[in-house]
Amino acid sequence: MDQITIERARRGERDALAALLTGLQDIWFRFCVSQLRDADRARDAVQETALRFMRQIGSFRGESRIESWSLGIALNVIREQRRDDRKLDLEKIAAGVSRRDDRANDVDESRPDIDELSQLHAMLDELPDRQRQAIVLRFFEDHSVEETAAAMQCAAGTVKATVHQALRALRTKLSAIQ
Amino acid sequence: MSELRKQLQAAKATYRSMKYPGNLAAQVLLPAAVNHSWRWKLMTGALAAAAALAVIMWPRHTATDTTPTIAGNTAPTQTIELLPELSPSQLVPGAPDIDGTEVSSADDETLSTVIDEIPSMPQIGPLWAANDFPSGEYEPLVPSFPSFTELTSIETMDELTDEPTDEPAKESNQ
Repeated sequence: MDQITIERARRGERDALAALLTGLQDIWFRFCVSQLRDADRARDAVQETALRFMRQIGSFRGESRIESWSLGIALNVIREQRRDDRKLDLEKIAAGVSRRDDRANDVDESRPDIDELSQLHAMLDELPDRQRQAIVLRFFEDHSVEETAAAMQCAAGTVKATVHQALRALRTKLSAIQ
Repeated sequence: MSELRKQLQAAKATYRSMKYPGNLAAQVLLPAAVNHSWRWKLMTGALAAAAALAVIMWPRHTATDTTPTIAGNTAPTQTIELLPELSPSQLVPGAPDIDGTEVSSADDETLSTVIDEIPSMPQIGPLWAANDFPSGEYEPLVPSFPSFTELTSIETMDELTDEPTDEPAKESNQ
């Protein structure tokens, strides 16, 4: 994504915004899937991220890559969705219906089973949210520590520590399986 | 290469293979375009309403601000004569003016009202006669009612009224 396109998008030019959205949509989607583990909810999160991205692009100062900066927006959307999910779960528990049962009744054959993509994905799902975010950004999106810190809105040292804890947990799980 | 690293590489490949289903720009920017046209229509409507209001208000504005002039002559040809100030002799006939000059009768005719004399309170009689209250105190009339013995002596209600009724006549007829 070149600086000219970003600058034009900041001025609100429609074709530049479209070009940025096209370039970022897959990055946002796979990140949302990795965090939400649901393709439909990830799609909703991506659309919400896009709307916020268009509103906030004027405040982008170019201190980090636009991918990292925009993943920070996506992360905020994911956090809000999770908060809503927790509220919904509590309501369902109160109503006597668990979320797992609700999902089992709503099987879509066309949707890929994200949890079965690899053994590691299953292990990643068991990690705390922050550790999973750090692993995905550092190793799957190839972000630097600083870029990961920008996306996660924390210090670089925190990212290093979180990645270290996540790798140690993954090694332990992997050795237990083997 | 450790087992974990191999796993990470494999997971990365599957992770990178995920694509967003659809065209995000078309999905997100299309509503914005619709919104833009809606906003444009609203702005156009507001401008049209403002123009219509200006056209309606314009004649009122010109009527209040312009002074009446005769066509072809910018200077006013008619002047409005103000009524002279009323002097004491005009208000009360025969009274001398402050500066000692009498107002002519022609001027008096121009006045719409001429006061002949200083008005005084009308003379009315006393509100009550002196012998109405001989004791000097006001004693309101107390309504009188028939006593119990008087009531028991009355056989019919008709005796209470002075006016004769034709009820007994009807009874007699029956």
